[in-house]
Amino acid sequence: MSKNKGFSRKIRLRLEMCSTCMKMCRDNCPTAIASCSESFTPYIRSLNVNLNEKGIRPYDEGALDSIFSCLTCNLCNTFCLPKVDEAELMELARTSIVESGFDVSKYSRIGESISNYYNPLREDPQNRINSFRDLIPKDNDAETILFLGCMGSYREIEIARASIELLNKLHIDFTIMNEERCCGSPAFRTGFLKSALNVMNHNVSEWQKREIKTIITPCSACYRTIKSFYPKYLSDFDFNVKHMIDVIKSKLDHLPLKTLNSKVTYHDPCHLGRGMDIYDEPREILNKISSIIEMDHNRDKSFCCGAGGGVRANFPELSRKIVDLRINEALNIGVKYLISACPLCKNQFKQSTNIGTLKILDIVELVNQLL
Amino acid sequence: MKDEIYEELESIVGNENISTREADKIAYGRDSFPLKIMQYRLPAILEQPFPDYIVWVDSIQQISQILKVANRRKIPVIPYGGGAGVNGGIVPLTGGIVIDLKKLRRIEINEESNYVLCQAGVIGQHLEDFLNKKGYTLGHLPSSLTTSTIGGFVANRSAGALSSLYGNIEDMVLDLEVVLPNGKIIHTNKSRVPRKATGPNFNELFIGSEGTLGIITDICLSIKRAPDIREFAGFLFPTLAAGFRAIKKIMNLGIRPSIIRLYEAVEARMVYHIEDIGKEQSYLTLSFDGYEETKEFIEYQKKICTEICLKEGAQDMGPEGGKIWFEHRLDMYYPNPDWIKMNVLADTIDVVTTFDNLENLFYKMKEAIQSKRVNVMAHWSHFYLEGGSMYLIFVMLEKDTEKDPRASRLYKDAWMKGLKACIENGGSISHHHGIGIFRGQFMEQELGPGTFEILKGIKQFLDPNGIMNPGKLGL
Repeated sequence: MSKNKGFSRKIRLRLEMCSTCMKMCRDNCPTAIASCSESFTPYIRSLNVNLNEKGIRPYDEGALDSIFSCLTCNLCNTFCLPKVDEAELMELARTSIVESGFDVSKYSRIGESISNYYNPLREDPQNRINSFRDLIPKDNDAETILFLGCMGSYREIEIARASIELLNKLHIDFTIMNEERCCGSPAFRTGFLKSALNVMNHNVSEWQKREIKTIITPCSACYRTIKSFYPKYLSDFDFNVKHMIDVIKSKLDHLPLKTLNSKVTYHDPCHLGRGMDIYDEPREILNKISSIIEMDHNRDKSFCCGAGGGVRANFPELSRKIVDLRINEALNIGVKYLISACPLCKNQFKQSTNIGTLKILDIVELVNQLL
Repeated sequence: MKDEIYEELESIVGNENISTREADKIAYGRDSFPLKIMQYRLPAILEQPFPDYIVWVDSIQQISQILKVANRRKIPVIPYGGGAGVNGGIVPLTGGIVIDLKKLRRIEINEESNYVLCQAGVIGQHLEDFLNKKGYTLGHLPSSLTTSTIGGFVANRSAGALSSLYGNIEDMVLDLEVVLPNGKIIHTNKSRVPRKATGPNFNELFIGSEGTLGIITDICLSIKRAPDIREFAGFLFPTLAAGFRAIKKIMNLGIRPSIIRLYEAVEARMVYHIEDIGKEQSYLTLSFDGYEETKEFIEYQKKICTEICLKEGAQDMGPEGGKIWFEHRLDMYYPNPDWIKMNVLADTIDVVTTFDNLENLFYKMKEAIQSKRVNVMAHWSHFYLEGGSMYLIFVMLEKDTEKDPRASRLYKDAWMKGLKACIENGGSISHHHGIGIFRGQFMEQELGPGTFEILKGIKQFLDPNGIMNPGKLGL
C-alpha cells in the first residue's frame, strides 16, 4: 500500500470542517436515515478521510465502508451552511483510496465492469443497441448523437425507444452509435478514475471521428458527467450537451401534447437537480400534461433514489431501504404517476417492494406517449 | 473476534446489527461536546474512551434482553440517540455497550386529546415536520432540533427557543415507557392524563436522568395547534438591569412571549450587529405567537410589552433583529472555516438563577473565567416568573499540541472556575444542557448532601450493578 498523495489545503479544510460539525445535516442524509448508523453519516465519512489524511488512523474496512456508502447525492450540501460539498470530498477520497493501493476489492465491481465491458452492468458491449436497432436511422451522417447511456441501452429499453421515437416526432436529425461506452460516471463516482477516463476518451474520440456537434441524452448522470466533467478532464472537449428535457422544453409551446387525467409527482434526479441546478424545466413540461403534486423532499431537497455513488452495487440492502423511503413519499401524497428523468432512478424505483399501483415512468416516455 | 458477550448480543439483534469495528467505535465516541470535537481533530482521538460493542435495536424487547445480559454480566450500557449533547453525556467512559435507538421511530398522533406517541429514536425535526403537516407543533425548538432525538430531549431535560410560552420538555411529557436496568418495562403515567394526585410524579424521575436509571423508549408528548402568526419586537436598554426589570414586569402581567432573549453588550454587538452599543447596554428580543383568531390579542400583548420596555428607557429597535436571529439561529452551529483556522474553542455554561441574582451571577462567573486568553459573553434566554437561564459563553483561541494539551487545560479550567462561581453565588449549574461529564463533580454541592444521597439511593435501587451510563450525573 502506498501513501496517499495528499489533498490540497482547501480540501483539507473542508474535511476538517465537516468532521468537526455538530451533525447539522444528519436529519437529511438518506444513508443515515436508512441505516440509523453514525458511521454512515457525512461527518463520520469526512472524519475517516481526515484521520487518514493526517496520518492519525489509516483506512480500515470500517472506514472504507463508511466512505464507499455515500450516495454522492449531496443532499447534505443543501443543508450545509458552509457548503463543504461532501459528494466531491467522497469522490476525491475514493479516487485517492483506489490509486493508493488499498484493498478495494469489495467496491471494485463497477470499476472493473467498466474497464472490461465498457458498461457497469457486465453486458456484451457488442449488443449495446440490439434492443432498439430497428428504430435507428440508417446511413445517417447527422451532427447530433443520441447518447442513451448504459441503463437506457441495456435495462430501461422503453426509455431508449421513447427517446428515439420522440426525437423523430420532433424532426431532429440524429444518430446512435454502437460504439457508445459508459459515460464514466459510475466509475468516476466510485473512485475508479482510470476506468472512467478510458471510456470518456473513447466516447469523445468516436464523436470527433463522426464530426458530432451535439450530444443529447435522456440520462441525468450521463448529462452531468458529459457536460460538467468531460471538459474538466479532457482538453479537446467541444460539444453542445443537452438533456432530453432541454429538447422537449425548447419545443414545448408548439407540441400538441394530450393531457393526463391523473396526478403526477416528479422526482428530481440528484445529477440533474443538485448536480446541474435544473428544477423548473421538467416541472414546466409536466404542468402542461397534468398538475404536479410535490413530495416532501423536492427540488434541491430531493431524496436520492438510493442507487447513486455505487451504493446499489456495494450496499444493496441499504439501497433498498432508501428506495422504499422515497417510494413511500410518493405513495403518501396519493399520486398515480412517479415521474423521473433518469433511467437509473426509474430502474431503482422498480426495485422497491412496495410500489403498489404507483406507475413509474421517465419524463421522456410520458411525453412520447402523449404526443 | 467474537467473544461470549458478542455472541449473546448477536443472538438478540442479529449479526447485521452489532459492530465491534474500530471505525464504528470512533463514530460513536463523540457527541457535540466542544472538547471532544477538538480532540477528534488530533492524534488524541485514539486515546479517547470508546464503546466495546455497538448494537442497533428495533424493538423494546431487544433492549430489555440486552439490559438483562448487561446486568448479569455487569457491563456498562450507554443509550445513544442523536449524539448531539454538549456535555459528553454519551461518552462511554468505561467502555461497554452502546445501544443506538434511532431505529425506534414510530409516531402516532391522537388529535382528539392533543398528544403524540413518539418512539425515542425519532429526530426532533422529523417529529416537528410530521406535526406541522397536520397543523400542530410540539413547541420545542432546541438548537439541536435537526440532530437530536426525542429520547435525547427527555433524557437531557432539554429546553427550546420558545420555552417561555410553550414550556420545556418536562412540561410536554405525559408518559414515558422505560426499560429498567433489570430488563423490566414500565410506564411512568400509563393513563397519559395531564395531572393526577397519585403520589410522586414518575415522569420527573426519568426526565433528565441522562441514561443513568434506564432507557427511555417511548414518549407521550402534549402537542398544540401550530401558530399562524409569530410577531417579533426588539429593544435596546440603557442597562442590563433595565432589561431584567422589563422582563419581570412582562411576566408579572401574565404575558408570555414565545421568545424572551436578553443579550449583554458584547454578544448583542455580535448577534445584532449594533456596532455602537454601549458596554452597559442590553438588547431584548421578544416574539409573540398566536392565531388568526387571536391576532388582536397578540397586537395588544406587543403593545403592552413595548410600553413596559419604553418606560424602562429602552429604544424600540423594531422586529427585524429578532426575525433575522430566529431565521439564522442555527447558523452558528455550523463549522466556520475562519474559526477552525484560528483554533477557536468556545463553549456555553448554561446556568439558572432567580431574578434577584441574574446580574450578580453574570459578573461573578465572568470575573472567575475571563482572562487574557479567555473572553466571556452572555445572554439570558428562558424566563419564568421567578428568574431565568443564563448562557455564559467563553471563547479562547487555543489548540492542544502533542507536547502540551494547553487548550484542554484552559478549557477545563474555565469550566471548573465557572461552575464553582455559579454554586458559590447561588446559581444552579445547568438549566437545560444537563450534567454529562464535567458538571458531575458538582452534583453533591448542587443538590445538597441529603438530596444527593437520595439520588444515589434511587440509582442503587434501580441499577444496583451500576451498568447504566456510568460516570454521568455525578453517579
